[in-house]
Amino acid sequence: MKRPYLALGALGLLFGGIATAQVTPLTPAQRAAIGGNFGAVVNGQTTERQSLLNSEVGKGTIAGTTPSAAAQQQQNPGPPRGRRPGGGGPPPGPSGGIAYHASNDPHDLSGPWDTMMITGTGQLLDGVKSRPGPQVISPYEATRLCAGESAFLEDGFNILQRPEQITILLAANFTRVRRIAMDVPHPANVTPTFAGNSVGHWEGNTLVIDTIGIKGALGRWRDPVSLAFTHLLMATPTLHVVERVRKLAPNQLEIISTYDDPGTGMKPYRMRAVYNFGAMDPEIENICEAVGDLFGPGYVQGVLQ
Amino acid sequence: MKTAPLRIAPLRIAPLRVALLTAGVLITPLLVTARAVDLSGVWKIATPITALRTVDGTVPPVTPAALATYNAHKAAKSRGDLSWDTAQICKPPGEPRTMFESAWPFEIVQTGNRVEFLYQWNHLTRLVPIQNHQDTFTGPWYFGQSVGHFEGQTFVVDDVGVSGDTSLDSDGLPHSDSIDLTERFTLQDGGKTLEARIHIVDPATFTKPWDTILRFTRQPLGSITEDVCETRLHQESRYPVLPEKLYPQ
Repeated sequence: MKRPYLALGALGLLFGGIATAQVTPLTPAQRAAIGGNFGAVVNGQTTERQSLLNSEVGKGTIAGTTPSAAAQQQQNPGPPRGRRPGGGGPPPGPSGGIAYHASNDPHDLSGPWDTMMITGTGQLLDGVKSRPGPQVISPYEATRLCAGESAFLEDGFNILQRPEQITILLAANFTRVRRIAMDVPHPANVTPTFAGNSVGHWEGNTLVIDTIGIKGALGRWRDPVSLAFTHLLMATPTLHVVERVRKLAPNQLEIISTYDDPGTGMKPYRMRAVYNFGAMDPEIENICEAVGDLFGPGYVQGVLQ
Repeated sequence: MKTAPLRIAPLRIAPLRVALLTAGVLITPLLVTARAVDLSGVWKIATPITALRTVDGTVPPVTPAALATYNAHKAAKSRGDLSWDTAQICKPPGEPRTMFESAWPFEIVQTGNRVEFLYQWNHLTRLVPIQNHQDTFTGPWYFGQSVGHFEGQTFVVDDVGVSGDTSLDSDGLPHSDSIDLTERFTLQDGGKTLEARIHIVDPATFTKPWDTILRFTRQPLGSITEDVCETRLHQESRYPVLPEKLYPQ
């Protein structure tokens, strides 16, 4: 290369620009509307680190993650905290959380994607997902106490993308984690779990996720609009889920999910949902067992203590 | 027609060339440093432990009051009484305990501007943003509030405000909400071993700062198994109802 410094410099500027992207603190009005304690607007998108559930703290409906945190939040909304003597480490800085940028690369799905509960974009494409009597749908669509798996379709999520594995952190449902092993087959023997066993591959610009080995379970589903628990859920070990994930635009993600569970006696059905980039950043610590009251009195703490 | 721009271009881009060169010289070394260490993988404590020790192998320098609490926890544990341990009711064990609790593995997923710790223990997660300042403090949190940066081949995590509801180890070593942890993660043995040297400062609990070292061995990717605390407790006859059966059909 005749002028390597030019390429080097261009690379430096490119990444330097990314590293120094403008992060604008939320205005008081935005904070009030969201209800969180801190956050930022990046490229016009809110990256609020307080999840919807945590936003309930200020309304008194959720006690907070730890007892002492709840008490502290009541007394002190959180001024910048300095380092204590001897602690070393970085100084306190402006709040803002991680700055995310929607990639133009159709194969780069990384980052936070917002929830159907905000946008209401869930759509049944074909088939039915219920039948007379107890409604029967996949646990992938369930918010089932602290134990169950939750779906793309209900919650926001954050995608961590590496070549060998795509990791999905589900947002409003606390610490749910899905791991999609890329370009490998399912293991010969799969022990059923709530998350199931997921493998993925690319078909053009579409990520295809194939999931089997989902633990048969019964639970209840929280309606994404009313937030009321309205449906009983069931799945059998024969449940097979195929999710086709693609970008409609750099900041828009479409997921079409096909649910096929012969064990329920139902025909396969498909759901479609579209998510916006970065509207909710599910980073805050949400511990299901610490906010078990959300799921009804007596759960976890009441039962175990 | 094509030669005119070529004659003019070098003159016009001279300042740009200088700017590019300067930016490249300044920024690229940082990028090289930042990308040099990739801690991603599945890790498991090399030698199972229940109690933290200093780098000298001694009991941490606890204050008399904290020592009394620690001894009470250990005595209760020896009687099978774990009522002091909130992890027994599925609350997070905290940091650094979750990394070695039950000698179960955890996964590190490192991407762009974040390092995510994904523990097998009750599928807990801990985010460490890569940034050089602490955000506004909103804790304490079960895992504290962490930020990380790279110093050469070491990933340095600054963790403040780990909830005093947790214990530092499985024997019940107490600490306060004001604890500060500085965790220095390095790869060793050609990437087969992850070492965490942890500097602990908590004047309310310890008479002086102290260090401990944890070593983890690399496990195959995908070797994390699903753990649901309530289901586990049910199987141990310590939880009355399987979560998946909690609601009637």
